Amino acid sequence: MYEGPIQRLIDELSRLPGIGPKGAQRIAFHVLAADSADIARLAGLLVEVRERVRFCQVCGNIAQDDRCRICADPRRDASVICVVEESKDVVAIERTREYRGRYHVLGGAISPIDGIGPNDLAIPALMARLADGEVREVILATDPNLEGEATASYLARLLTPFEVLVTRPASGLPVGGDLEYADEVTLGRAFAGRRQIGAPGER
Amino acid sequence: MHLTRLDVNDLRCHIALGVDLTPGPITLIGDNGVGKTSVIEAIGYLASGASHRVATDAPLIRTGCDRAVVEGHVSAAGAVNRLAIEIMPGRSNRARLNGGPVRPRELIGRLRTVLFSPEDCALITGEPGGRRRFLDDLLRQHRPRQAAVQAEYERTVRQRSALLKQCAQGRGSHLAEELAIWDEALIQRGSDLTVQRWRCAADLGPLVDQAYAELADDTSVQLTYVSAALGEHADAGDHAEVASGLRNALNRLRAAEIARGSCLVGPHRDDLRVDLGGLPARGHASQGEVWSLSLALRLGARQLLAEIDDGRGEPVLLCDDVFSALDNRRRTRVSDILLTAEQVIVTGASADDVPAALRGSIRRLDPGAQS
Ligand SMILES: [Zn+2]
Repeated sequence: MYEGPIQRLIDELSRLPGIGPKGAQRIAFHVLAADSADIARLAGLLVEVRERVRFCQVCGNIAQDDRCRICADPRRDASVICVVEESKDVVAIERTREYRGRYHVLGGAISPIDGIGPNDLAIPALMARLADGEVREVILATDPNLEGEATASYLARLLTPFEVLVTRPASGLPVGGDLEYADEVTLGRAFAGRRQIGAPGER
Repeated sequence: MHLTRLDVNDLRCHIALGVDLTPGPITLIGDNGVGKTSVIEAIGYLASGASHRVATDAPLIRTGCDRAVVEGHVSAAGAVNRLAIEIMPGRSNRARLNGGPVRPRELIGRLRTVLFSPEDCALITGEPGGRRRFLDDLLRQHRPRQAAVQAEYERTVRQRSALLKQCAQGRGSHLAEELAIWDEALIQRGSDLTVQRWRCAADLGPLVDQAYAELADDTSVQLTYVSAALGEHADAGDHAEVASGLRNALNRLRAAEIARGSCLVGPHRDDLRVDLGGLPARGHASQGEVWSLSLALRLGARQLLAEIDDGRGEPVLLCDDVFSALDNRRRTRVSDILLTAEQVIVTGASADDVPAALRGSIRRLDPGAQS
């Protein structure tokens, strides 16, 4: 244990995802040794990110205005919606340059262990976007792991009454993984070869 | 295959243990409490991705540390591979193969081990959980891709149980629809796991029967995988039949599962029945028969792993203090069998605990000599 602020900083840092106690200690001592202008810039950014970054009112993606860059772009195909768990999945799919439609960010996946049910995800907003009949295809690009599959199955059932084509990126994605870690070629191929997923009970 | 080097850091009482190893018999000698079993445990973890002693990883970590690291150099098929696993309770383990990061699952199957321990009699006399663990451990080493199937099934059971608890409390609003999704997940992954275990038991049965004949007498030994959903006479090797059996069982047990808030059926409730001379060994076998049967299960596992046709050779045998409880006749018989292994690592409090033929090259573990 150290005294005062340095220990409090270590404690706070080790609460962050992906940082253990040793990593937190390394970062804290780096902060202590680093140039104070650099640290001031970092501190400012932490505050700014919380104040300035917003979520797109249409799709839930990270945005600087009411609408994100993609929803505001008239060249994007509004008849296709790709449903993902997080904004970072949008970034991963954009990197492939395979996809010209729009997105819908759920804000997570169904996971009873974590107390996350359908009500905790942006599902009503997705339904609302289907209401005017302009959307013809919904791609369920949740992570290829247990929770992502369950979320996709849930949405597939929910979408049955709508007259939309429901597809899932083709297999080839690493099973049990995260979408964001799939390499561009694999992810691109998975998008090109997506397949329809069907009526309840089929999958 | 054999280990040429083992390093264990911050696992249980070991701060920094490093030993060079050779093919053939190796004896680890040390007083009680210096962590002989932990060395065996560490090697087993590297091979199968789990401890044979505890279900969670937290007890493996030395007090005051946040992770343990086990590294082994495995010589097989003319090459040496360096396998390292960083065990981090509460987070995902990290693994390295020849220095490069890989998923922990990718290590499984590169080192294969069979463990003989004093608790093995519980495989016959104990609860089904021990037999399921035995089968799953063997399955992971036999078909490494099964590690993912097992992990996904376990997680499905946890997710579905959490949801059943919410159902019992009436929390949430789309519970029936959500439960239907997790029913399908359990049916799909549960039937995968059931079929794989059934096949593993079917492959293992004749090998255990043969091992028992060599160890004891020619009384027949039979292994039967018993699916809780299907009952013991069903064919749990047929995917469609298992899936429909699971679906029927879930429908039948719906109210009970919600009332209890847990998954009451599926491969996590199954058993591996061992019959000796046509009678269930659990409850009927004598103490001597139980001992021979449990050893025959391990020897059958050794044979199954040795028959894997990838040129990597037979598994490393690990014997944790198995000899002190045996009479001379059995000591001789077991050591004769173990001596044929490419590498066998034996522990004992003193060299006298290990049959002379098996002593081979001796490594002494001292509390003071570990750092
Ligand atoms: Zn948007």
